[in-house]
Amino acid sequence: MVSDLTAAHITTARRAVVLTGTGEQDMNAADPLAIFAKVVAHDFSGPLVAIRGFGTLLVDTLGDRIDDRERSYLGEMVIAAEGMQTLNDSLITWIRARNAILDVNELSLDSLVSECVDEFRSRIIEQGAQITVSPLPVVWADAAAIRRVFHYLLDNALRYTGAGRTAVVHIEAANSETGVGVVVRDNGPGIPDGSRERAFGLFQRLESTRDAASTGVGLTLSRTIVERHGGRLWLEAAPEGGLEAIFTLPTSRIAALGHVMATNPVAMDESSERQHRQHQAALATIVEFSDEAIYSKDLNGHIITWNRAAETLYGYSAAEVLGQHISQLMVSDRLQELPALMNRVRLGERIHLETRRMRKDGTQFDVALTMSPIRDAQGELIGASVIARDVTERHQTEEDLRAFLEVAPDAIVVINHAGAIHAVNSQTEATFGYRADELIGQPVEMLLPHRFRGGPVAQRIAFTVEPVLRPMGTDLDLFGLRRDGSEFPVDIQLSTLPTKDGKLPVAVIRDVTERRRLEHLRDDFVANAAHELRTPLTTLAGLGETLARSFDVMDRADIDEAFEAMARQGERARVLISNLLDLSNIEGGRANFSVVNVELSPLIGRVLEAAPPPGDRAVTVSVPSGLGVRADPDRLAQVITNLLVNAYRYGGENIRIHAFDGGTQTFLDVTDDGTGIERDLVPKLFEPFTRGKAASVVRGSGIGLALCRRILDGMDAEIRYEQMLPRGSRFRVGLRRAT
Amino acid sequence: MTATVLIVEDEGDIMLTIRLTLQAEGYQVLCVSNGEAAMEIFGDSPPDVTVLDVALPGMDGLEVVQRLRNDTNHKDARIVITSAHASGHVRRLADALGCEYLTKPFSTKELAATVAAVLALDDREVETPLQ
Repeated sequence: MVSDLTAAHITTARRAVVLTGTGEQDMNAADPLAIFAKVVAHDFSGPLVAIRGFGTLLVDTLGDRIDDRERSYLGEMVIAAEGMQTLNDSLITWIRARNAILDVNELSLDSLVSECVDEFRSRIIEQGAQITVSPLPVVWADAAAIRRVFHYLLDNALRYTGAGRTAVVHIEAANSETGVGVVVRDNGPGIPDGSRERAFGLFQRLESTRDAASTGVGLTLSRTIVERHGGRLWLEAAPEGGLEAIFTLPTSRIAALGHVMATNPVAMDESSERQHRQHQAALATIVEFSDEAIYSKDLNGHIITWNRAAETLYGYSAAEVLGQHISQLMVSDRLQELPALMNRVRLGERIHLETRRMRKDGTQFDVALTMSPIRDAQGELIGASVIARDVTERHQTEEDLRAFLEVAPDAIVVINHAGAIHAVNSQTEATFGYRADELIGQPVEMLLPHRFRGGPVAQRIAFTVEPVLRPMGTDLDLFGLRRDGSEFPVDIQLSTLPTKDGKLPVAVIRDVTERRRLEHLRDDFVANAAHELRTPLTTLAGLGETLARSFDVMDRADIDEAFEAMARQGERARVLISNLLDLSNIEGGRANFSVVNVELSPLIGRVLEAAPPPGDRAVTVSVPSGLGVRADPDRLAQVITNLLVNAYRYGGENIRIHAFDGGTQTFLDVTDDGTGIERDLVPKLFEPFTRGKAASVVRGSGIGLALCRRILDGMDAEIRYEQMLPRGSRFRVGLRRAT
Repeated sequence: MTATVLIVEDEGDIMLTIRLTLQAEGYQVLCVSNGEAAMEIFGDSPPDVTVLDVALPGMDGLEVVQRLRNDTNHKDARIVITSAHASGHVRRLADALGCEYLTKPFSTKELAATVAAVLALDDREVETPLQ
């Protein structure tokens, strides 16, 4: 039976060449579980029927000769035998499904599912259940087998509704590049995390769902069927409670055929063997001419088949590569993958892998590999088939996209269809304080404060269908939640990103803390400036009105005082506005500084002339003649004037101007012996509109020191405040030395 | 007899403006620049009306009002509060303390009218002061 040695889907003409000589396989080495199951299934049937039958017979024939207790013993025995027989029947069903010859055909899931739902019609009506089905695609699969899968999944969904609840079941499907994913979602109690995989154990039933009619074989069987088609079947918690059974099927005919034929048992009788050979021949042609690179290797890693597309992909002809070791295709720095891969192949695992491989000419490329076990007629592993796809281009696109996301100034979060985070850029990590791996797979809501979770904001983010980037709404005060629990104001824009898994929601999140802070600063500034203008305006307007109305009845002295006050407040308003303009020009970069060598002594002389101390203040100057700095002379004079006027207003009686060469800088100190500045004001001293209590008695513009700081910044100079002990203030200006 | 107005204002030029305006209206005017001095005036010879700035060094204007309201001799004192605070809090507080209120900058006509109105209320009810 040489022809039975390999699975069907690698049966190309070349296979025979390579495999001749491997000899016949030992029948007893077939999958021990399968043999055990077969024994159980067939050989237990007879005894079970006998136990049950004779048990029932005994109850009848013994009649009154046994008492109730003895009768109940017999009854329990019969019931136990019946239970065991049900289990055995299920096992037989499973064995049959596992060993059935599957026939791959084009299959409309739409009509299949509607037939399947029909079978449950009476139960649906009886339960008042509701089943909705979204449009489903066409797949390549064995109709009877897949129908069975739907039958089991629907049966489960209808069976395990919560007590007193109406079953609501929804079936939908999504296409991806490699296949179709089908979801059967129910609203039942679900299965707790960590227990879902256990549901696939043979005869596994969960405590809460114990039910005599359920034999616990459906899920196992369904998974076997799906896997025989090259798909996967698993359970997930549905987003709104309940359970989702999800399975995938290949949409490509070749992939489906390949997987199914690889797992089809070899026929035992003549007629089916002939059918089998015909199948093999057809398949050999399909594989050979497939556009997908398909090859296979034995358990030692030697290449045993190699189709035309593989020749194109790798650049090796079949003759060059057959019998060679698979490592020939590998990139040297990926060779360490091999032992683990071969181990998994020997365990019969199906492997999906993205890696790099090398062509004959030495060039490397990114490749997606699907490896499936190949079994012989007795079910023994003999190697693995490989379907290889060049994904260099896809990787490039993904890398371009990733690079683009990385340079974006905003946090960008891609969300999958389940509302979980699919991908993030590094700005997201920086903004929220999480590492990417802590975010991916988590609900996107984790980035929102608790009060937004589950609400319309979270829903809109996770399930947006916006085709273009669009703000969530400017009227919403949105906040983000960092890992450390702190919140910060955000703007969120939503869109969708086309990916191989369909259009995924994308949230572009901008931290607007700084913008909000600047807005507050601006508001404060405007309010402060307006506030500062109140006194001049009240005085000017009020005195003007009073003078106009009552000039004739006023004392000469009062009239003089009124005019002086108007002049004083007019000047104050002028200084305030001029300082505001200066500040705005400097901050807006519109101020020009003409920095030259300036000798300090004459400059300070001119300042004192223009702003002499009032009668109750005295200024002493100690500045070495010839000491110079690099500065804009007019701007520096403005700074010194400001400091002097401050000292006149808020300082003590004695004011000292002292300049000296400090080595790297030239220092200019303006010191007074007043009460100094309140400690809590010092950190904000150089910000606009900071003023102390004393300032409510004597008022300045409120932005003098802020302006000094900005002017000095513009000349590469600096200013700082020092508290003098036991009393007094010193403003120290550090200037560049003259050259 | 000419009514006496006490002006409590720490900013010299504002004080001048109020003084000249009210003098031109024919009032007898007294000026002090802090709350303590205002309380002394009340001890000696209580004015008919007080124009009181809220923001004063030391004892502020609201404290002056509360002390007067708690003093049986002065609990009905007629007071016009002036403040640069645009917020409603000070205005509501002034209301609660039974005071008139002027926001700076105010016009001198407004000032004169307010003082005249306060003086015209002979049997004005004074609400219970806040504690």
